[in-house]
Amino acid sequence: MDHTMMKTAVKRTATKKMTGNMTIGRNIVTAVILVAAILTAGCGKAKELNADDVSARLLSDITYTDELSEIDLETVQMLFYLDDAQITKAKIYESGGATAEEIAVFECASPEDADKVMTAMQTRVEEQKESFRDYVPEELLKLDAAVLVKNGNIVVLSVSGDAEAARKIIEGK
Amino acid sequence: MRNQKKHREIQTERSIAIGVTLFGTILIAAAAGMLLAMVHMNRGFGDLVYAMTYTGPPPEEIAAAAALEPDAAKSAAVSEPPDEIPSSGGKTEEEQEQTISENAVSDHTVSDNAVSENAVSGAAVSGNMITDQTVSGNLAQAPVYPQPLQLVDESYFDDALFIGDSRMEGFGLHSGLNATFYAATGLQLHEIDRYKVVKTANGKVPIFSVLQPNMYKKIYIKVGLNELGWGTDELFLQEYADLIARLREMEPGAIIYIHGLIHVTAAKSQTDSIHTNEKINARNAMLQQFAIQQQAYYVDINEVVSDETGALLPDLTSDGIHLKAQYMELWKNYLMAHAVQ
Repeated sequence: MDHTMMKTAVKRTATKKMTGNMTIGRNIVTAVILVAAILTAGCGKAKELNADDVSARLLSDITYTDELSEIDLETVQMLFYLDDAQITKAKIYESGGATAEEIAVFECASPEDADKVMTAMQTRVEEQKESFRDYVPEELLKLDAAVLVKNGNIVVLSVSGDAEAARKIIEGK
Repeated sequence: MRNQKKHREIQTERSIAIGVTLFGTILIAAAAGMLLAMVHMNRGFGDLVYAMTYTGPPPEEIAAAAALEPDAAKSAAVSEPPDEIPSSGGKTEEEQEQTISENAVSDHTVSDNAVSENAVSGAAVSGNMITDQTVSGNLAQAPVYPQPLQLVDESYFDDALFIGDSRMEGFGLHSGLNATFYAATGLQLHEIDRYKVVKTANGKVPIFSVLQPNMYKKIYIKVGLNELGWGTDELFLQEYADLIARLREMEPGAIIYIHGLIHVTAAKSQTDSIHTNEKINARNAMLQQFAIQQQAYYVDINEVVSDETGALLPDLTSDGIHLKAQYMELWKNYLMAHAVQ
């Protein structure tokens, strides 16, 4: 074999090696991108809320001025305009009258029902502001900072002295 | 012989003296007791004479007539005293009607068969009656008054209406009762026609915008705390009387309960110039008499939520005023033990 052929052979081997390395590298990169995409997709999708879990955390992880007690959906009809909405589950905690603090989590039959509940909760907050404005003005701060979130078929209302904590709980952080 | 005769004479005189002394002692004791009783009941000698010369029908006949025909029974009862000595035999008909109400106070206590760990001995009645108020509203269909208080179960409240302020609203949320609650934070009597209380399809509206006739057999009213810093006692009572009149117009068969103001904690009473237990107690004393005058029943849960100093127990409240949700049971149990059938 002459020198030229040897050079060519070496060159071919080197090229082959380089190509092989590039392929491996490309595969690695592709894999990383795929994994990242999967992870990102997982994070970007809204976390499923659960009435029991969210309400329990809102009750236990936030400090309230009053002691909130659970009331049933039938009693809640006295407070909220929910007649038109199909609700599959509700967890509601109310004060004894001393404060505007409350927790209300609704699992609705459909996004449309969730929209209705959302409207009802907005009305609730406004009515509470009206009630407490001349009575206990300090409660207006809590009402102004009320956290009201709709997530799919779930609607969550939290009125407390720690809106930031409430929001984190609702967002699953 | 002469000595024996003298001895017998002496013995006889002695016996007569002892007898006269005994009789005199008994007479004096009876007179003293009667005098003390009259002073205690704020009666005069004329009342005693009237009672001793009374020849009318017995009280049970009057009660039976009242059950059939309240108005007729009431006018018949005007001149008929119950067991106690009436205030006077020479008063006007209005004053005599008031007398009947006064004497009926003795029936306005928890009856012996009202059993509950929260049952109490009944409302104490001040001797000072409110004399410038007349009973409000149409009483033609009103239940016989007064009747003894009894123990009932929760179903008693199925046809009850509760009207009141934020404390009543809290009770409505947490009592578990299947009653109707028209209560709202900040509600005051003089704003009853403006204040938006009842939820409807078109938002919240005032009570009388939605109150249906002949719906309720019992109406509990709890107002007065928010009015402590407003107007005068007379004005407050006038507003209250107007409310009762309007309620009786709509719900003529309803038993009316006037709810006493719940105490605040000692700390709250000391730091709040308006909501003090002194003022609350004064208002409650007024409401007790007002209830009798209005042929309503006074209920007061302070007996089960206050301490020996007359202040709301601190553990029962988070702000010194409102009961915590888990203690609404005390309130409910009290009402169940103080009900009229």
